[in-house]
Amino acid sequence: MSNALLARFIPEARDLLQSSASGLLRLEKSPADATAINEVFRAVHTLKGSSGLFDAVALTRLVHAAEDLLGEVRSAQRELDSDLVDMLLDSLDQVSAWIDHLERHERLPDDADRVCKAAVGRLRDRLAPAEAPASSDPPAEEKPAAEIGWIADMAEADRLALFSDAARGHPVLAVHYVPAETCFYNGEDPFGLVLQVPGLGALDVVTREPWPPLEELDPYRCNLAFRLLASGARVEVEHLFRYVSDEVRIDQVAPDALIRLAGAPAPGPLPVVEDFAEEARACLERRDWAALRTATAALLALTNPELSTASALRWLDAVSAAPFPNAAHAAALIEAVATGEPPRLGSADVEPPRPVLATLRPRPGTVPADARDAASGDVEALARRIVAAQRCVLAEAQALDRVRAHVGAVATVLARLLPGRADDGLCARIAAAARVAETDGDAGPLLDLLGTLDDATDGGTAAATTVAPGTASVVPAPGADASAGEAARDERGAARMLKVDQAKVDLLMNLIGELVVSKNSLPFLARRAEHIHGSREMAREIKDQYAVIDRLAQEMQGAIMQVRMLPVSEVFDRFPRLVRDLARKLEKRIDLVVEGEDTAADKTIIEALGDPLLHVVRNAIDHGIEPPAERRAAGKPEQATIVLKASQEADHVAIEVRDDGRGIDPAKVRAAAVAKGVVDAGAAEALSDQEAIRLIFRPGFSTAAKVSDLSGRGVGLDVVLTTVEKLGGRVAVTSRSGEGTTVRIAMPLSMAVTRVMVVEVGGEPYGIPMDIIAETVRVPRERIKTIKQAPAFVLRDTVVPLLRLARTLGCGTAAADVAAEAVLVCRIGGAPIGLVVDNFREGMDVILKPFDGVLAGMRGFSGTALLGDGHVLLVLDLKELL
Amino acid sequence: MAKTIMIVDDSPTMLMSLDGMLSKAGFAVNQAKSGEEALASLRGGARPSMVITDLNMGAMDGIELIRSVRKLPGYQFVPMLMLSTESQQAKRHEAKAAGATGWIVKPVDPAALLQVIRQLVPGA
Amino acid sequence: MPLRFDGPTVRFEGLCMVEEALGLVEHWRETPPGTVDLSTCTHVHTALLQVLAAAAPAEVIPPSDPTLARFVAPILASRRPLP
Repeated sequence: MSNALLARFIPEARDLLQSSASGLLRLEKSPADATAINEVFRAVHTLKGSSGLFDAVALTRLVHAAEDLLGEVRSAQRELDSDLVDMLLDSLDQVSAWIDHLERHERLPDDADRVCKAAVGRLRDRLAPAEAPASSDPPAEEKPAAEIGWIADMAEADRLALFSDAARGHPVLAVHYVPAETCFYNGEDPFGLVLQVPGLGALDVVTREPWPPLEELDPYRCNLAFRLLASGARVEVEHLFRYVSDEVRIDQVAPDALIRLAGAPAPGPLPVVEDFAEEARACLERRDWAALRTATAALLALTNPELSTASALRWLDAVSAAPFPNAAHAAALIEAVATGEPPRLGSADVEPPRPVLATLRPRPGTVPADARDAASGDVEALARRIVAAQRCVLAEAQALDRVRAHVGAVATVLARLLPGRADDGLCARIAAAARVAETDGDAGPLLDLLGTLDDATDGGTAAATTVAPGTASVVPAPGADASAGEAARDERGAARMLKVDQAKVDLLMNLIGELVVSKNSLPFLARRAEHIHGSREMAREIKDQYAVIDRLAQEMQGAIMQVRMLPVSEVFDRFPRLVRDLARKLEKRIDLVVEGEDTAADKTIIEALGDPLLHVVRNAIDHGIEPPAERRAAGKPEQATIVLKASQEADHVAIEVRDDGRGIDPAKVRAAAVAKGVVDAGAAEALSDQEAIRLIFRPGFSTAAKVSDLSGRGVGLDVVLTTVEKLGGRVAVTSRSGEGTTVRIAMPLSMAVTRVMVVEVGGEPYGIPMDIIAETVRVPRERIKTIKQAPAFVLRDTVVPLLRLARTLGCGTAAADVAAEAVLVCRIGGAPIGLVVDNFREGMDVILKPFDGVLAGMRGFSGTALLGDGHVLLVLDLKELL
Repeated sequence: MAKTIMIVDDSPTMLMSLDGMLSKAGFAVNQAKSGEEALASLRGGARPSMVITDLNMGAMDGIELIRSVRKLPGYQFVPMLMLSTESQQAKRHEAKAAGATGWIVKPVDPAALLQVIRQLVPGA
Repeated sequence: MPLRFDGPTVRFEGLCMVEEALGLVEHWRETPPGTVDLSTCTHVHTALLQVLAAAAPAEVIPPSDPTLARFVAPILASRRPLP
């Protein structure tokens, strides 16, 4: 499960990081934006919560520290300045890097703890000095056990049983529980809760008000109050009542507090009592408990059980039956039997007061747990030492097989120490383990739990999980409701979204690709039917069927493409941060305007757009935008604007990066290009200004006087051009000196299926991408001229150089003596070129598969495609080939 | 018959994790990604034996959801738990005032979660 | 239905939940309470128990689960007010 869980978590974490970062940027601009701070806080908070599911303690801690800071910002304790934003963004970046690492390696990097410590330290330094922990209130005034009057209301048999438990080391708790009158409207069932009290030994129920007649009874107003005695562990009882802690009072009861005589006093001194008292005192003197019990039983048999004397005898028996009978109690009871007075048990051994449940927990709204920890580090250290000491005690007891004798004390210490330091679940597990130790005498589970507690760096236990690579990314599916029943039950109009594993969509895409290719075998079949089997009718039927399948396949393909569509915001979202950081670094003032971020395109396109866009935007900031002083001098506003805009145009998505910077000076570009040997001086002069500007995309060109660490990383804008063109896109740049520059990137909306024309060269079929083919012509031999030692022909007043593909590919040509050459006119980089092939064949849609393995480095081919007749088609990459 | 638990959280990871814990323990799980979705599902007749909701969610937070559920006919008495962190103790009181039965601390420990459900849902 | 009304006799069966309490009160407002049979019930919500305590039916057959029977009894006997 954890693998799938991690795979689910990673995209969620990235979404949350993204919204935190963009929220922070908005906040920096308008610090009073309450929506933004709430959003950021919520995102970070959710991230903290989800990250806790994985073994990524460092990550959770760092996010936690960021959350604390944001919490202060939100409660207006702190102003958000740019430095703080920097610091928070850095933390988010670190978390983001860890998420990447988690995705690849299923764990955090080895240095995560160290990095976390440093980063948390920086954040904590900015945190308001934590207030001293609210001085713990003195334990609420507690009645000594002897004063809990209602204990006497409990049935004597129940008290006797509890006394026997207490004598065997199970402390007795007195619980007074007055549920809120409205508790049923909180989903509570007080009696259900009471029944679950561990070691419940006696129950008494009283009413808030006398029962009214049924006509006036409101059954949903709780009129009951519960008083009970139990021999369970205190932590467990406190845990059970943790949701109603302020309605409950829990006291530990000294065993002698249970000794209350029931029944009527004897009407007069009983005849045999004097003899009994004498014998009993003698037994007590000798500490002969067995004899005392015999004597007690003998008198009890003669006494009316309704009398208080009988009750005293029953208690005397219970006291004597204890493993370590209390002589003082026995003596007091013997005298009670003798005199008919209530026993004088004294209160010396009444248990000292213990804090009630409510005071164990930090009061709401005081100090966040971590701030408190930070301020009271030494208290935490002490707590840790105490836990360690308990482990030693237990371990020794375990070794000596004397666990039962010690576990009670250990459990008590832990019960006081842990609430508020460890989570409720852990407390409960420790209580349960303590009970196991008490009943079975085996402290193993408890020792193990204490071990984890001791090791844990903070109170919570990180759920340890082993996780496997999650490679899925998120594809929003514009989902129609799958089930009508669900739709009926569900009143929401909103579309349901599915998060689908990327691999599944890719599989669909491949399958439809195969279907498209298989469908292409039908025309071959039709041709065979006609030519080989001579059935023209069959051929036509096959073609008709082909038309139907072709249409369905295309629709299906379109539908699957839609699933793969992502909004450009996927790439745009990183830019606000990037622009902000660069602008701060370069001391420029830049406002980034993002438009059309909902425009969608195929995932591959969107993902491929990231790097080219990054380069263009960096270039604009670095070279285009002037420093504020220069802008002021030029009469421009100091704050520059960069517009990042996406729009859909027919089958293309257009992305525009427009700045209002200094623009590109064509003269400087010409000079630089010549100086760097990109073009010769003559060619440079021949270029129009706009053509000259395009020179910046040539390899080896860079206008920057000095190479900054921003855009000038040894690569020029030529990388942009190469990347975009490789994906079938185009780049255009326009610029006006002093006014700004616009770079326009046009990309196909999808690229999964490529339309190619099949040509024959040297008897073999080759595919040529349709989008570079301008036209096909048959050129009579006599029209082919030799211009500058190269063959060429004139097509509608344009000289088109000719290239024999057979020669380029290094294969022989089949038809040497034809009257007219088959020429494919292509446009490569804007210039026409004619490719001489042996023959043209059909156009078709193919799924292009790039070469892999040893063929991956082969130049001149963009990949292979499977044909309908089973042949493999090599698809040429003419830009590389020529 | 398996008891149904409704879980409400805007984090798909938390939903998946809770669903895993509950399904494994034999509960039927009704997931909702927002308070609004949870309310729609309850109005539509989902009758969970318990509702577990996250505190921090988008438009409608956990406390508001609890308050709204208590106003729905038929849901005045259903046990409702709020998922919260150690640092949100003040919110627990607010949640109780809104009608919550209790809370679960994140990260959720499966044993503790099941223990609370058994504590609050008879027959679970 | 966990509560079965049979004239003055009411039988509690299985898990008897809070929602039933109002129905029980209304039933007894019309038909004075007679015998209450808890023998086959496995859980009774507090709200129902306090209706039983207030109505004080002539006869209560205790739950067959001894623990439940033991601790239901003090509720049915709850007559004393909270001090």
